[in-house]
Amino acid sequence: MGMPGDDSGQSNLDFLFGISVFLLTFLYAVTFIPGMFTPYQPGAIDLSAVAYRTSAMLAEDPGWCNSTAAGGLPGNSSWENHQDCLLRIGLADDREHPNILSLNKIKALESLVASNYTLVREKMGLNGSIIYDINITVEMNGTSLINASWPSASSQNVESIERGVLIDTGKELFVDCNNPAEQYNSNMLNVTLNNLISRDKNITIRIYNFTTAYPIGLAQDPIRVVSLSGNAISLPPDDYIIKLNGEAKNSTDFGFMKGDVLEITILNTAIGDPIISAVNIWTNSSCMPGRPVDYVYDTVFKQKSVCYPGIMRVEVWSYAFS
Amino acid sequence: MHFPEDDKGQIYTMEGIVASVILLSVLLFIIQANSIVTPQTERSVDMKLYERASDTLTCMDRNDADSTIWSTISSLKSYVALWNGSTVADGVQGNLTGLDSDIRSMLPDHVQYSVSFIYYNGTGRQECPVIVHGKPADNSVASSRLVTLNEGDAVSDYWKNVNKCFPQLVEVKLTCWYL
Repeated sequence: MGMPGDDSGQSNLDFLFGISVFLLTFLYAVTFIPGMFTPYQPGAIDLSAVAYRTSAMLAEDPGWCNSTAAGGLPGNSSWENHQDCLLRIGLADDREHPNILSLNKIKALESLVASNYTLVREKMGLNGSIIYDINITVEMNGTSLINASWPSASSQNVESIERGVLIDTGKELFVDCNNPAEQYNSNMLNVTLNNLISRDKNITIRIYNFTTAYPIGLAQDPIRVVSLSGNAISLPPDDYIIKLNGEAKNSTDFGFMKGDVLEITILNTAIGDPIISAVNIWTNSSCMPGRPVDYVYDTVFKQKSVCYPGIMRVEVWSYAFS
Repeated sequence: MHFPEDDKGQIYTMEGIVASVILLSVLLFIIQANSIVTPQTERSVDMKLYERASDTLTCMDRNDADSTIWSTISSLKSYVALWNGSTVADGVQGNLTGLDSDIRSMLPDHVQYSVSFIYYNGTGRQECPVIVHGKPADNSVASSRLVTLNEGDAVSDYWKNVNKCFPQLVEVKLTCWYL
């Protein structure tokens, strides 16, 4: 191309230099700020909100069911017992104790997922105009509490959230062996079951705070049940479980002392048929309260929910976004 | 186009540099402006950590005296009530090793944390670091719970004398960050 007269190539070189400086800075800006384009990936924003919402509902709400059709109360949160009229799934014990999950509700969810996953998804509010899939795991002490066949997650765009929770494994009667208001002059703990309404659950008695500085033991045939007519019979070993400091014992021949915790679980089969009125626990030393202790309504020794820390993980994804 | 005989083309270089500076500043402006680019991924990561911190305090927030809950994780109040008023610059205050292991067991492994107690000491607000596991990183989150100490509660001598006024309100602040 013929420019008039002189020096036409010089400007091309300068332009080249200028554009390369520009391109270098532009590329620098693009490559060194990797987060610049991430918000434009589809779906990620929406999914994290859904994951949070679902985890909050499960951890902080006990759920809801309307059991009038089944002859129950008009509206209550014990959906695990009324799955036919389930309205909303929640895993919390009650509204006053957020983040404390009920093991019964976790187990109810496990069986419901196995039988009707679509219903679970619907009652968590994930079956609206956009249909989401979900996978919930609850772990306590490294063991998984929900062993159900959830759908497998799509390979991309899965949003997950973890919540720290306590898991309520059920109620136990706490018998403190060093309460100043009580007298400990008996070698037999007499737990009366007169106020026990439902006999389809195991009962557990936790005895702790022993004062003896030397090891004491259980008596021969330590667990005996008293029938309605007043006859005491000793239970065979497969009707009860004895744990010392959380470790199951397969014999009654062991010692315990100050600082130890004794947990005695009597299986529901041993208290329901025939109906028994009391459970007696015999030791070889006087360390037990001298009066009968009621399992349900005792003024001093109360039932408490025994909770262990755990993790709930919620994964959410949707084929609408993949 | 005609230029004088000398110094031709220099202006193009200048233009290139000026243009790149303008473009770069525009890009920087766009990136900094939150309303246009919302870094949702980073916020969601912060939110998840905040939930874990908040969950930890929620699980420990209960009243032992009339509680129907028993857990291997003790209540916040039991630790706060027995605290003797001493602080640490690094590590764990002697009264609170139980609190430290409870929080450790509730948080994920790759998270580090510090705890401080904040209260009114009679003249002003006082913040006392009681568990310090290093310096909080830039992306740390903080969650708080209030603990009320009443006159009848079994509290340490420190609480009896610090303010001489009950109920005493103590804020427990848990700061967490990813390693």
